[in-house]
Amino acid sequence: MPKKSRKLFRDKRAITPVLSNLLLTVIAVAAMALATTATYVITTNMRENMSERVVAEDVWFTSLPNQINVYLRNVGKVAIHVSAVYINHTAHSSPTFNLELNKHGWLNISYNWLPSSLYYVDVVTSRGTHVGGYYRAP
Amino acid sequence: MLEAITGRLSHGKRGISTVIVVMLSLVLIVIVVSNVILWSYQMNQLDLERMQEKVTVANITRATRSAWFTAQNEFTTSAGSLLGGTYMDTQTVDGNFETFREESNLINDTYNPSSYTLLGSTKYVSGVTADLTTDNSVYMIFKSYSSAFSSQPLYSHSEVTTIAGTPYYQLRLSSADTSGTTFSASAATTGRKLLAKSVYSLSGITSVPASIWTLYYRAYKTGSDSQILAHCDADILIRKADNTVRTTFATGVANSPNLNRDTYTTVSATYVWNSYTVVDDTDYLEVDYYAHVTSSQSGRNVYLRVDDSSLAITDQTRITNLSFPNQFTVEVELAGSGNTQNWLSLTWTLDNAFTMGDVNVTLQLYNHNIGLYPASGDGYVAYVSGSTPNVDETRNQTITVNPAYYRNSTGEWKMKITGVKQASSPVNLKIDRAEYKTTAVGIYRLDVNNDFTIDLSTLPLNYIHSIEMTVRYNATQNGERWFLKAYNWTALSFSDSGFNNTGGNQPVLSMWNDYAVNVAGGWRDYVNDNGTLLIELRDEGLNTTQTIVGIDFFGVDAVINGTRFDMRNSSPFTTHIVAIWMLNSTYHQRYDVDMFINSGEEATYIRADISLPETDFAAKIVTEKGNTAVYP
Repeated sequence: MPKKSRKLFRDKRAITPVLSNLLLTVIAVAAMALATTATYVITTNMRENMSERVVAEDVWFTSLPNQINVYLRNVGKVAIHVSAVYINHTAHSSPTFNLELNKHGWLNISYNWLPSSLYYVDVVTSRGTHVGGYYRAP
Repeated sequence: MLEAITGRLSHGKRGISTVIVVMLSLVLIVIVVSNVILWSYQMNQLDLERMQEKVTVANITRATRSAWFTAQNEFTTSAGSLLGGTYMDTQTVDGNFETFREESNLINDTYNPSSYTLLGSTKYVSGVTADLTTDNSVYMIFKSYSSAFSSQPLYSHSEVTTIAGTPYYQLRLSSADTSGTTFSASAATTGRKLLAKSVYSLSGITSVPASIWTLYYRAYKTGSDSQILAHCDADILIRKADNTVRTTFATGVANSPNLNRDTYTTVSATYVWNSYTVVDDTDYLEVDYYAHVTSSQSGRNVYLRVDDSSLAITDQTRITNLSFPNQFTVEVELAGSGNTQNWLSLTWTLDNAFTMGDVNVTLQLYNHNIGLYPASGDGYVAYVSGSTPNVDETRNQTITVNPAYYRNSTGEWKMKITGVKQASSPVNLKIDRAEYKTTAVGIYRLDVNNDFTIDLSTLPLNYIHSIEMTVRYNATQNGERWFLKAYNWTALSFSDSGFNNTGGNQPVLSMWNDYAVNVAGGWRDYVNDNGTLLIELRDEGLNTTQTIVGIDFFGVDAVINGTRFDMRNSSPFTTHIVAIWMLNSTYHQRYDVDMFINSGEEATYIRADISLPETDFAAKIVTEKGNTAVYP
């Protein structure tokens, strides 16, 4: 081994600055990753809340069986999950109903409705979006 | 180490790390904020457009016919040609039209002779006219006749020809070719003593014209002139091939002067030969040489010398001034029948061979306009056959100027083959193929077709009651009708079975003609599973003059029991209709729709699978953005 190399390895004063630089770099990268992840999580949630759109194309009161059927269509940019249904401002049920992007389908709500009565049907998604309106039973 | 880090942080005077961290943080903040703002902007934009979207349903009525389905690609011309315009000109009734022109196919017909006529004294040998249809070395063979004569000598030879078992010496056109033969006869008694019988074949000779022959005898006698007198003479006759005599012309003619004593001299005498027409060319001309002893003496003889090539020709025993053929001709006329169409051209072909080389051949096609076989130009081909006998040679000629001259009013034609050979023996003509090929202008035809695809998303096949096809066209000729046909996907052919009108449409000149047909029963055979119809417009096939057809509109629709929606988009942007709801007291039915309406435009949407309810109903149309228009 050349004489110069042996001298460099025996010089203990050079190790501390190198390690400290490396450590600082690792800490900085970790901090940035943490911040980025946090930002992604926060903004994703915000974005999903902002992007949720759902419409009720039709409401059909059927008597056999007694149901209020709401035809929902997802017109937003995220999938929706219906978490609650309110009829006349009263919590009625917590159905399991999901709609992917651009999908549509019937949400069947069992309810003993009365003919010619007016009902306020409110469908609430898991992110808090409301789709509702007044509908008169036939 | 911790001291080093804190020391580095606290004593880092240049602050680069701090700046970097701050910058990265700022970038991160900017990204986060801009992402949220951008997303928010997009959703706001969506909400704004949704708020501004306004679609109304003006009317909903019962629909009995679908919209027209027109050509979406260029027409295919099975016959005829595209002259101008495009298929897009056939999509609407607007006076813009696509133009097609009838085209004609050339019709080639090939004919062969059905009969033959022997000309001159040509003789048939073998074959039938059916042998003339193909080049297969199966021939019709004809034998030539003597057509020119010249004065020729016949030399007596020592070679022998046997006729029905009896040998005869030969007479030849060529001079002596051996060391000679001597015939002798006893002069012990008076009278005619036979010396030799010589024959010459009359094969190929049709006649022997009149002439004065001179017979030369190379002869002598023994004994003194005072004691013995003798001369030569001859019998002349025709001998048949069975060795019987057909005709005896003369006996004891051509009497020579008295012969010399002991020394050969050539004496001569003449004979007047009358014209003779050969009865059968298997016959032979026979000359019998005699020694005629008029004063006899025992032990004396008469000698006749023949075929002695050591003698000068003038001293040889021979007959001169016979008129024998030096040219043979074969002439045959072949006839057949063709058609009387309007010919563009006529090609006539002959494939011949001769049993001798270097025959002067003339091929002629009869010109009915001038009533003659041409001597030059069209209808005339002359050549000299190859030097090798029995080799087929093909000659043809295409006539494009007035080809109809070479047939008569009923389409019959004839051609003549003449072969002339300068020879002393006949030549045979062998015809392998004779062909008369016409190219005529055919009927002008037009046949255009195209795909017409029914939109099955709005017109499911189950809801179609029948199919209608219509074409709006004009034509420059009205001499024939025009037909619509559709491709039967089951039978795999175009058909008009099941059409309410199969009689076609007679066009009226100088106006647009509307021709529509309805297919009720069996229409499904004409629509394949993806909704495609293949429809053709074709002529009747009668025109001999070219017709140009303009198509202003060509389309297909379906007879249905559906619903028509008249809608209007009042939005400042295009709207996309995604669903229609039909509602009444008993059902709510949703139908998927995929339809765009431009901003400010009205649109009609017809659905065959939506039957308009007889009772009260409501209808809703739903846009992609989630807005709903309700009717009524």
